[in-house]
Amino acid sequence: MREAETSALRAGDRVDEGAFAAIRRTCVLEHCKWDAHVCGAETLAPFPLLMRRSTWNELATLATALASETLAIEEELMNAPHLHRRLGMHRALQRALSIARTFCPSPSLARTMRFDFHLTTEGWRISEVNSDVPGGYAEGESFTELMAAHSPGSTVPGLPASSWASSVEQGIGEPSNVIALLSAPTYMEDLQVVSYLAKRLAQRGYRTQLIGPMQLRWEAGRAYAADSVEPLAAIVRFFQCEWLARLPDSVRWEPLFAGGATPVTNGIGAVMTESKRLPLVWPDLEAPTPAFARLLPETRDPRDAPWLTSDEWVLKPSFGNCGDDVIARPWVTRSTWARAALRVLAAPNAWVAQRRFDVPPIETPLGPMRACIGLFVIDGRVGGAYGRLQTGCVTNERSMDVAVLIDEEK
Amino acid sequence: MKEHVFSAWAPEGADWSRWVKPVLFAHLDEDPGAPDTVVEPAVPISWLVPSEDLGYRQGPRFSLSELAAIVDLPGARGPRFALRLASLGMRPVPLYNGLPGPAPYVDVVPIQRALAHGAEDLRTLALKASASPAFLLDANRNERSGQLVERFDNRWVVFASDFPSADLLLARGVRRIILFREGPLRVPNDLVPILSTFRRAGLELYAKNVDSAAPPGPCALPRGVSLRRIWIERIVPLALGRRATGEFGAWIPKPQGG
Repeated sequence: MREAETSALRAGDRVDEGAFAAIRRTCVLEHCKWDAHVCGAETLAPFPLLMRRSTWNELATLATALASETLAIEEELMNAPHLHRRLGMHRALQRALSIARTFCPSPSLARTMRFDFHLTTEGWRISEVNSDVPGGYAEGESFTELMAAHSPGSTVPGLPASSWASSVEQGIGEPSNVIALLSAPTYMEDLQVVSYLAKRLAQRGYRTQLIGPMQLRWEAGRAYAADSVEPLAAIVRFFQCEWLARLPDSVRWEPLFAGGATPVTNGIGAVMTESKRLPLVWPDLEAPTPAFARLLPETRDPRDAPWLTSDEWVLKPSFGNCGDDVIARPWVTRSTWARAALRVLAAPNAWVAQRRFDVPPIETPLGPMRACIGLFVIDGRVGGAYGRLQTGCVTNERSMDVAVLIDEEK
Repeated sequence: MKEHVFSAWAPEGADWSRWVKPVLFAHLDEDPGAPDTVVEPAVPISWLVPSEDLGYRQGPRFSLSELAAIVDLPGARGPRFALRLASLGMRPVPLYNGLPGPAPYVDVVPIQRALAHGAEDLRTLALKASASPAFLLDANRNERSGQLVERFDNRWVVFASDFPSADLLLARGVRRIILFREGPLRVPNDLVPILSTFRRAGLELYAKNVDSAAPPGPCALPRGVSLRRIWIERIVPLALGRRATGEFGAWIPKPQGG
């Protein structure tokens, strides 16, 4: 790695213990950060990650280019049904895409993606685009602002939740009817995200309601919550597309994507580009992907990669979340690897093999850790960052959330 | 208000504060409402003694310094009983993990009220940072009774990851765990694999009916622990929908009638 790049990202000083305790308490009680302690470990880093303004600008430029390419891919993929199966999508999602193509996609608003950047031995790389339901708003906004107040000479790179709420506002205009925030109500990680976003919308005068898919009712294309007679102004979808596809037949979710009249965030395009198998269809598309080609490691169908005999490959589910099931032979025991290998061999369409990259750990007050910087792009504009740190190789639900700040003194 | 209450039940610097689940505190209203008038019956717990008194008393004795408690009582009774334990020197650690939500299936408001009104009492006790933990659960957390239709299903179960590990408990000097429940001493399904793990690690398990004057007796775990573990760790999260870290709560839909 070039020296300039190494110094592009560093851990800041640890915030005073008492001050950090107050920050944590505020996050837990006021900003819906209810998983600040997971399996006996703290998830909020008591120090920030600092990057130069020039580094931030570079990442923001790359993320904007990636978002632009993603949208172009979505547009082309919409009319390329022969490629949908290769994306490893559930049949129900393929059916929804078919309906959208035949009739029309449901209106979409506040198109949000998050690109996760890693500073590797070969420079910046991304592991994937979180195109469907990216999270990390509270950590990227409230937690980051609180940490910035204790990091002299630093500024926050953006306010993802506020940017997102502005986009929603632009999409639906003046507060009128209720905005429903759709999530799996029993999942705390998701509940805390929609609770936080609901607060942001309420600050702008919108009425909000948290709902699950069972409470969604459709009449003539308009969405209603439970027994309400008032149509919803919009639906904030924080319910993964692949989970929707597995709901019982009695639950109608297709109008979220096709044939509906109620605006939804994120829309049908996200379903296609959420697939980790997306690079496999690039050769069949006309949309140029120079930013992806530069930043995403080589990605292959598991049948076309020597992952069984080589340690150079990492296996990912086509539709995974939070690093779930991401696996590589050197990271796990022999029996765990054997079980994973059987799953991949049995259903290769549900997996993708990606060439591993090395992320050197950076020194932090808690010891060496690897960083992942997620950049939100909301309606084409960079809206902030969500930083995570881990001692291991995979960013997952046990990773620490860290405030990403711009070091204005450098 | 919520910060004041939370900092009483999860004070900075106390050994077990990080395990306190914040959800009920985050949803506390400015005005928690009138305090619960029910008084916890003063069933004697004289068998619970400071370690220095152990040698001077007869009968079964439990030293506070080597004890952890699991208080599995319904509703507001948990915090109220926990305050009794706190008056003896134990640190209550609320593990309540169900969202309040509108029209909830499990009414958690009495618990919130008890936590709010108990905060001042707890603060005045000035417990030691290293005080032995008393983990609080709601015995109604996964009970199925009454009408489910059109109610917010905020039932929940407890997982091993909600508790400190057996290794950590042992490292902090805990040797015995007492499960406090009301009525017959049946160990709830979700606690069985957790207590089983604790027992395998060398912790002694006892159970105590809080309405009885009898001292704690050995805690009998039902057979089939492995199957129960599979049930709790694999099946229940699918049914109630919960990841490794979260609380529960979901709307129960109206049945599709004819």
